[in-house]
Amino acid sequence: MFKISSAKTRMIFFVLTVVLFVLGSGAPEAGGGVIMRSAWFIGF
Amino acid sequence: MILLLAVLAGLLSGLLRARLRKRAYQSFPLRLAWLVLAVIVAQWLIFSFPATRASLPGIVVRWIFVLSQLALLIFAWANRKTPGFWLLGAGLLLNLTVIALNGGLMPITPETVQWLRPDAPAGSWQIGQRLGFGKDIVLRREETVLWFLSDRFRSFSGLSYRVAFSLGDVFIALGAFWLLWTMGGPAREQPLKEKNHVPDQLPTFQ
Repeated sequence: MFKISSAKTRMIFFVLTVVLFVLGSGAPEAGGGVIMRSAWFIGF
Repeated sequence: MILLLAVLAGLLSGLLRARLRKRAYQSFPLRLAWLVLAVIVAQWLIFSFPATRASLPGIVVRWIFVLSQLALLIFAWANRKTPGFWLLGAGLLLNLTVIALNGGLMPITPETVQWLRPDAPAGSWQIGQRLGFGKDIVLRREETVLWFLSDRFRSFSGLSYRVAFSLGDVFIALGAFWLLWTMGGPAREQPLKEKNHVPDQLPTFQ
């Protein structure tokens, strides 16, 4: 098992938020694609 | 594509910068981050989810799109003190302006659509109509309000994957790069609260 520090969690959350913001601002069709692929990745 | 490239370049260069200087790659506190998730879900419903994108009336799609951009603008304003966010916000404002002035979708000229989709069958898109289930509307240059802010730039013709992008997208790409690059910079000091601040040296009076 590995532990993810809270600073790393915050950093990952921050980068993910920025990526989604950027896609939502300029390429909204791609933002939906990220959700679809994430859902597929976690098994939905 | 230009946006994802900017994010990747900013992330990699910021991580490299932090590693070379032996510093941690640090995030910034974010305000109203839930707004971004809400926007992405709304945009997914109008542009990507097959059951809703085909059934929602065009006017509803346009309103949701404009309101989603407005929500992102509020998010950018709430985080305007974070590096790069004023560029992100400026780019978003340019995109929102041209979208709102052209009926709620991003205008694109027929010439650019032909360049984007040279193999598209005849009749698969029409002038004055939304382009597929995407964010664009096909409008002639002379019919477009603030044409210079529309999706008028084209990716390098040498690439097999063709994309059109706007001036607002360029600002957003620069802002994303700057923000992610800054995260690999020097450690940021926490601002001192005025009431707890004790000066090292008392002022002297002569």
